[in-house]
Order: sequence, then structure tokens, then C-alpha cells
Amino acid sequence: MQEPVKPELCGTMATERPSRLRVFSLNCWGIRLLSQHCAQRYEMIGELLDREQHDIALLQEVWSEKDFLFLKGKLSPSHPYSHYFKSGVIGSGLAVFSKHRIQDALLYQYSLNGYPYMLRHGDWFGGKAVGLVIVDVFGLKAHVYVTHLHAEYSRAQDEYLPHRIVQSWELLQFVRHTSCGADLVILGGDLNMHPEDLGNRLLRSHTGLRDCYTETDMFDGCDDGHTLIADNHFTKKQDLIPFEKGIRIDYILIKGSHRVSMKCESLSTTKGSVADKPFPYSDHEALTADLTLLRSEDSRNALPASERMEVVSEARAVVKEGLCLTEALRDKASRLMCAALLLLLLVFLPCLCHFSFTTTGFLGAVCTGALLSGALLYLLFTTHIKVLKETEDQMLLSSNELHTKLTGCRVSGSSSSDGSPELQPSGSFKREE
Amino acid sequence: MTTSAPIRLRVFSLNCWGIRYLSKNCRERFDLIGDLLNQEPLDIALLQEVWCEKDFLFLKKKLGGVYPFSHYFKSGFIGSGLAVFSRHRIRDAFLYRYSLNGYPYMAQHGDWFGGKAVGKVLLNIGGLNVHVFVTHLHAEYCREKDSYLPHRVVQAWELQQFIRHTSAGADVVILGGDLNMHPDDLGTRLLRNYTGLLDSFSEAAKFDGCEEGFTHISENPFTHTDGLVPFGGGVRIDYILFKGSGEVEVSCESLCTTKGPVPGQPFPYSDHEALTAEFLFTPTKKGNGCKEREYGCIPEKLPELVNTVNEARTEVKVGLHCSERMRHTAARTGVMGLVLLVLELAIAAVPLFALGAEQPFPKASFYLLGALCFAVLLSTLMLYIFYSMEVKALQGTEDQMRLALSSLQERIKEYPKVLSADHLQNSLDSKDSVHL
Repeated sequence: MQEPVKPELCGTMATERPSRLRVFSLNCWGIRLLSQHCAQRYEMIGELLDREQHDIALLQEVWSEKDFLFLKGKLSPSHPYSHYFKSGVIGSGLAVFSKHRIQDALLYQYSLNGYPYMLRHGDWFGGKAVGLVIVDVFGLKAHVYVTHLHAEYSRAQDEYLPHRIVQSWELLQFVRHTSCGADLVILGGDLNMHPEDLGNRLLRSHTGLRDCYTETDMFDGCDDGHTLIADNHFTKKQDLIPFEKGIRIDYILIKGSHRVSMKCESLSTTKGSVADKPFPYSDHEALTADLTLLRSEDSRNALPASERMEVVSEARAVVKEGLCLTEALRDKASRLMCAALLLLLLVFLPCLCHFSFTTTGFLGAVCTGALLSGALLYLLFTTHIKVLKETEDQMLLSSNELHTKLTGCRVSGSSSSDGSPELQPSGSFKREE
Repeated sequence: MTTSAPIRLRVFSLNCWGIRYLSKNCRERFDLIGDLLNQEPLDIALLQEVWCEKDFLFLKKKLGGVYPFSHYFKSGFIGSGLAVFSRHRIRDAFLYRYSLNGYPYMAQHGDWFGGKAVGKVLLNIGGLNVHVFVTHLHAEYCREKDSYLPHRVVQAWELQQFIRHTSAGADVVILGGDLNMHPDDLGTRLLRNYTGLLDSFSEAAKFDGCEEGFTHISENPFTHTDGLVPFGGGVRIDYILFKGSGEVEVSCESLCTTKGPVPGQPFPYSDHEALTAEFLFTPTKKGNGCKEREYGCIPEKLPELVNTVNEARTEVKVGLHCSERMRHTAARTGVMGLVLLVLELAIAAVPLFALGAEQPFPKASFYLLGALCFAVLLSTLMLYIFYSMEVKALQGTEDQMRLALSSLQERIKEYPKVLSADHLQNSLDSKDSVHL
């Protein structure tokens, strides 16, 4: 059996002095031909990243590959490693730039992401996803996730809430299942959720990820850590209603392991305008987190099982509601198909209809169009129903598992022969306990 | 705290061919499958092509006494067809749907409508973390001209990525399913070499079944024998793969397959043969197990893996060129349709403005042509959207492969003995690696 010739671990880690890691996250608003001053803002973003020399930069809404390649060219001296995640029709928009070597990458595209007919929202065409890059940081294995969830267009009547909950669930499952071998975990991105929204609570409680904003002692940025503010030149004030000043929807979340303890020393955000520049970097504010890594056990306690169960129950209720709504939509689609088919038959029955050729042709075309649309919508909604049911099943499994933990904990001293997790902590969940 | 006594585990895998209204004797066969699973002392049953949820619920009811835990993976339009029945509690489940799975207009093949995926369940058996994966890849309809090869290679790539990245904490990994690939096909080699999974057919101490472990044979009355003639009457496309870890040694004690007709039954369980593998888990002292295999490819196989990934990358590039060409054709056709429509409208507008026009206006042709143009525009638009997604998925996979290749090269440098091997020099000298 061959022994690997491994490079020595970085001196700082060996002598127990903490290592520093600077992480940057920004939703770049790079919708070519639609977002304002796109090209100039990418120039500015490139200059910023080049100047600030972050270890890792996580970008969202880099929709055009040309913009990614522009940044890659500009940043290659300082950030020789990068990855651009491609999915969907337009692309996931997710990009990572890193000083440290990227060893591997994996993409998980969310199963639900809006509707193709909601053209003015357009989320469906972007293959929203979570991207994972495994980065070698000072000899440690860092699992870095970048993501962008479905936008919230109306908080009062959020028709995309079930989609965002499913995305949050898939995100937390993906992070949990792929971060077992990680020394440290970082998640950055635009979650399109407020800090105490259900999806956020679900994500944090089940992964053990910690919000840099709440953890840090040194914060310099917008009030309350807002990342979408009224003072930003590009923001439409009516989009923020009822939140006058701003909202916090972009995050950098972190977690250590039994090998590495992570702490957010400071967090800063941009404040809407950039010195000496005519406009900001984006309609979102940029986040910069200064993290310290210490070679010791990260022994922060996970949220108690009972609280986690509550969050999962809440999430399950939302998914069930989404399921009912989607089933109703699918029924509408099948009724549309039936009506169109019926009308088509009627129109072409000469004994019943004495329309002129033009009218027959016109009605025939309309019916065929309706039939086709009905069929496509039926296909779409059936797929959505399957995803919602799968998510509900997975949540149920999780609930049962938590319930077992709760009931297992109450029975003291009993040895369970089947090795239930709380008595015999097993590999993949060790770090969660 | 793991138990010191070895643990036996019996795993079953079968492609059930449960296409209601299309596959023969569907209901009766599910009844037979239910009986078989109830009678045999199995721990885990991994089923594919359980397309209809009613059939899953039927099996769940029938098997509830013996297999109290089950999961049915739902995705796509028809479903993933993947189901797991287990004696041991399923603690968690996760699904990864493949980015590519055929074409919606290939209705006679129908793969696109099934949301093919890899499903994962987490079990705790005797204190060991057992990660069980079940999957079903895109079918191969014509080996000589396999238009789905890039899709299957992407699926194999995503399968190995998913397994590697989600089984870091596993003591034991088991993968069962219909890979629709022969043992030495590119995708199978990629999967085995990169994950370090072992083939139960190659490793089994005892084998009883079809010759050469075939799982799709001409003796089965449900199969089309013509396609199997060039392969000696059968193909091996269903597998149970496994691996242990640093703390657990896993060996395959025996493997058996059904052999077509079932004694005492009017027909077989399916058009595929069923696999049953018996494993022995032996906990070892920490670190004495196959720790290297735990992390995937063993060092000696690294050069071979680099070649395999390069080969896979080539296939993906070929698929990418095809897909880009198809997208271009769709765009061109769409533009032509638009131009024709505009032209037609312009021609139609002439009589409107012409004074004293006596010629009869060809309404029928006008409307028919208009409808045709519109239909062409709509279908090319949808095709353009579809091909764009295909292009993105292929590009994404190619990027991941390129990244993987550079990582593998770095790993090879850590093993000087492997580096000095002659065959490695050849692969490093090859053109492809220069691009990295």
C-alpha cells in the first residue's frame, strides 16, 4: 500500500495561531440588456476583487458567460482558480473565484424554480442551483457552497413560497450530505429570505450553519445588516414595501468541524454607493466576512431536536399547501385540454356547425393551441407535484428521525441493539450532535 | 461504538418492468415479486421501473410485515421508478435527478418522461452507517449508433460525483440498479474506478446464475432475442456494487441471479433478471480496513482513471457539438418560419391596399401557411430552450471533468511510485493532458 507524499501543513496551523480567511459574496445583477450599467459595474467589481484580495469570492447573477470570462481574465493573477456553474436555459449565474486551489466541483439544480409562463419573473429560465467547490485552504478541506434561491415578488401573497421552501430543503440536504468530510463549511449567496423566515430557520437548524452577521462582534455596514437597501441607486422603493429602509437577504454562513473551529471576526457590507464612482456595484450590497480558523474542535451545540421538529412541521405544512395548489392547477390544465378537445370535435362536425371556412380554421387553431398548452401545463404541474411529494416524504423521514432522537433521549441507560444514533453516534451525523 | 461481530446483509436488485398497459402481465408479476421478497430472507430490496405509484403501494402493503421501511423516489413526469424496501430503519433519503435524460420528442423511447435519478437512503445497521444508492440510467437502443451515449456518460459522471461526495461518513456503501451499460463500457469503468466501488459479480466468492452474470437474457420470454445475439445471448447491465471503509471490511459472500423462467410460475418476474448479493461486514481495528478505497480511486488505478475521464470528456465534447448544431438548426428554422410569416402577412396586406382588386384571395392557403409558420415558430422555440439546457448541462459536466483531471494529476504527483510507472508516462505525454 503506497503512502502519499503529502506537503507539510501550513506553519500557522501547526503552531496553533489562527489562520485568516476573507470571503466575499455579491449578487451582481448581471442581466445583460436589462440591468443598468452592466458592463461598467463588472469593471468595478473586477477592480474591487483585484484590490481587496479576498481568499474566496462568491458571485450570483453572473448570467452571461462573457461576463464571467471577463472577470476571470481580470482576476487571474490574484485568483487563479475559478468555477462557473452552468445549468438551466440562461445558466445558474453562480461563479466562484479563489486564491486557493479548487479540487472538485459539484452542482445540484433545484427541482422547483418558478413557472416557464411567468416570463416577467423569469426565474424558471435561470437554472437556480447550489454549487459546491472543494477548496484546499492551508491544507484543510473547505467545502464552499454558493447559491441563489427563487426571488420573492410579493411577501403578502407569495405564490413561490412552496418553491423556496423546497429549495431550502434541497439546499440543506445537499449541504448535510456532502459536508461530512469537510474541515470547514462556508455557504454564501442570495437566499431571498429574511433571517427569521421559515426557509432560513430550516436551513440553519438542520445544517448547524451559523450566520456571520449574528455571530460577529465587529460589523460595519448598513443598518441591521441590510443587503437590499432603499439608499441604493438601483433599488425600486416600492419593491421594499413594507420595509422602508431595507432587507437582509444575502448571507455568509459558516460551520467548523471537530478539526477546525471557525469564527467570524468581522463582517462588512457596502452601503449603497461607492466612493468616486457614479453608481454602486449592484442593486444588492456586497458582503465581506473576515474569518479565523483555529485547529481545535468546533463544539457549538446544534439546535435541540424538539425545535428542529417544529421547523420541519411548519415546512411540511407549506409544502402540503403547495401540493394542494399545484394539484388544483393541474386539474385546471386537464379541464382546459378536455374543453379544447371537445370544442375541436364540435367545430369539425359539419352537421353541428355551419361556420365559414375562415371561422372553422380560426376556431380549430385556437382549440389546437389550447390543447397543446393544456398538455404542456399538465406535464409541468405533474412534475412539480412529484417534487413536492418527494420533499414531503423526505421531511417526514427527518421528522421521524428527530422524534426517535427525542424519545430515545428520554429513555436513560437503555442500550438499543439496533444502534439508534443518539446512543451510538454514527459517522455521518457525528458532527451534528 | 460498533459491534465486534460480523454482520451479514442480503441485498436484492431488480428492474421490475412495471410499465402499466405496455409491459406484459404487469400486475401478476408484481404479485410474484411481492411473494419472492416475502419468502427470501433479504435485508434490502432495490427496485427500478416501478413507474406507477399504485404498484409501489401494493408492494408496500404486501411487504409491510417483513419490510416495515420503504421509500419511493418521485421525480419527473412519470416518476423515477426507484423504490427501496428495507428491514432496517431508513433514517434519511435524498434524490439527485440527472441533468440529461433523452429527448422529449423521442416519444417511442420515453426515457425523458421518467425523471431518472439516483436515490440515496441512509441506514444504521448494527451501529454501522450504511449508505445505499439505487439508480437507473438511460437505456441503450442501438449500440452501433448510440445517440444517447453522451447522456449516459453525463449520468454516470453525476452518479459517481454524487456517491463520492455524499458518502464521506459512510462505513459501507452499496449501489444497486440498472446501469444499462456493459461491465467494460466507459461509464461503468468511470463509476467503478472513481468511486472505488467493487462489482459483486467479480468479487463474489460463490456465484449461481446466468452464465457470465448476464441480467438480460434471450431465454427470458419477455426479451427481444435479436438484440442479444451479437452478445452471446445476454448482456450484464444490472449491478450490485459495494465498498467498505477504514473501519469496516466488506466482502461479497455470494451472488445469484434468476435465470429467466421461474420454476412453478407461468412467466419470469421481469424482462431483467434479479440479483441477490450476500455481504459480510467485518469491523476492523481503526484504519486497518480499505481506507484508500474509502476515498475513491486507489493510487495504482489513478493513471487508468485519468485515461477514463479523458475518454469521457471526449464523448461529452462530441455530444456538445451535436447539441450546439441542433440548437443552431432550431434557431435557423425558427427564423425562417418567422420570415415566412412576415412575408405572408406582407403579401396578404397587398390586396387590402390595392385598389380595385378583382383576384380572389386564397384564404385557405393563407391560413394554412400562417398556421404552419406559427407551429414552426413555437416548436423551434421550445426546441431551442431544450437544446440550450442540454448544452449547459454538457458544458457543466465538461468543466467538472477538466477540474477533476487536474486534481487527479496533482494526486498522482503525491505517489512517486505510480508516477514512475511506464504506462503513466504514456498518458501524460498524450495530447489531452496538455490542455489541463
